[in-house]
Amino acid sequence: MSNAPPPGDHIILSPEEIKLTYEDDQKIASAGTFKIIKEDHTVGNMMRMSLLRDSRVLFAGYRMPHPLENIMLIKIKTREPVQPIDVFEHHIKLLKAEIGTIQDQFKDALENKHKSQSLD
Amino acid sequence: SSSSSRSKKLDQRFPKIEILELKDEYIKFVLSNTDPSVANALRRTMIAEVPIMAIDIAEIEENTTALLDEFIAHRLGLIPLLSHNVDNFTDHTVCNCDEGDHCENCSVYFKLDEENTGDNTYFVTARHLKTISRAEYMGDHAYIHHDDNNKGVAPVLSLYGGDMESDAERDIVIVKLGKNQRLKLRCYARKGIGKEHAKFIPVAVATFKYDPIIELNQDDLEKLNQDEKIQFEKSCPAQVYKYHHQTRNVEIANRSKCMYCMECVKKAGALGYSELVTVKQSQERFIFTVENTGSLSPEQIVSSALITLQSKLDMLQTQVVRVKESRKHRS
Repeated sequence: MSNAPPPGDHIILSPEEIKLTYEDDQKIASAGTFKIIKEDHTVGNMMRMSLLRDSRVLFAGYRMPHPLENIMLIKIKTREPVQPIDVFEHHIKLLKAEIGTIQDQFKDALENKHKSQSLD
Repeated sequence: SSSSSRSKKLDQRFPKIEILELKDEYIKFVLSNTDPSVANALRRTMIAEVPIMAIDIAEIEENTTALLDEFIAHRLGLIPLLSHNVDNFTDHTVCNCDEGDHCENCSVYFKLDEENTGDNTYFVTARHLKTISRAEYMGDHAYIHHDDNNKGVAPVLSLYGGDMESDAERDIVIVKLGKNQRLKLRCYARKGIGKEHAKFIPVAVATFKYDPIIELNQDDLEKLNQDEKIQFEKSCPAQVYKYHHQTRNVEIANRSKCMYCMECVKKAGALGYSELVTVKQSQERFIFTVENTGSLSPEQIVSSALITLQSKLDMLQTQVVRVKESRKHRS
């Protein structure tokens, strides 16, 4: 029992922890790894699949090195001169726009459904 | 932004939503023109990251029941609480509670005091939880009457009974009291998400299935005789196909009922026409079924999940911008 982490440890960042860090790959050109803390497949798989559809991306993969540590690594290699960090930023924007579209669509669909249900 | 105007513009996707059914207990909708990772992210968020209220700490004053204190505290946590106003509460990790770990901004207080004074078994249910003010919780009895209804947070009661006749049958039972047994406690609820504890999961079920794509080869179909066509129709356990005697033809009648068992494909192969039918899972259309537990309405669950997903991506975006800035200053 004494080695159990505090509750919420896998969700809440402590003051000294940084959500996202990035390191260039030492040996491979225009490649780098993002290290994200306290996120899971929800975001990781979504980002990875989006990146794979981009023709400027030569490699995109994500993994969680150990199940007991809440660390996710996303490795990206891009075609020069494009840099991984720019492509990552671009895909976050794309996904945000996509989720935004789903939000608007859902709102409209709800209004239509409420209207048609109130007519019954 | 300047960098994306020079980089190749990726095809932006425009997903569509169509609501098939909307009831108090569940919603069924189609999400299309997007890919499985987005659908799955939505599903995962609906289960694990939509915040609701649930009882977290229980201080038990008297317990002569058959259940242990912690057993009862566990059950209290699992009682669904109406959480429509959950956004008006602060998260307890960031709340500036003046004294102690809780205040009226982040918590909702309840008390319960039931005793079996009769001869029959007495059911203590979620209905017996009474909302109280923080002052009363802390022991200040001068302020017992309070008008604030805790922003509407109360146990979910008697919503879906189905065949059950009375409130007494539908209410959630906490513990059953024998003769002279008593349960007296006070507790408070706070906001949380499913990732932290299953009591914060707003859904009973949140699933999606891939829309079936079924194609019949008409040329091969014509080569079957009537008996073979009927055999083909009957091979499907979900009655996807229908044989019409007037036209002597087999049609797809209930495409959405397909369970991907592939019995029709096997039957076609057995009849000697392996190209007769193809059954595929669409990678672009997903049929969601979301069933709630009463704490949030199904629409609220979906909306809240979408907002949560956006704020996750927001957070990542802020972080990436920060990293880019710091790299610029380095070189």
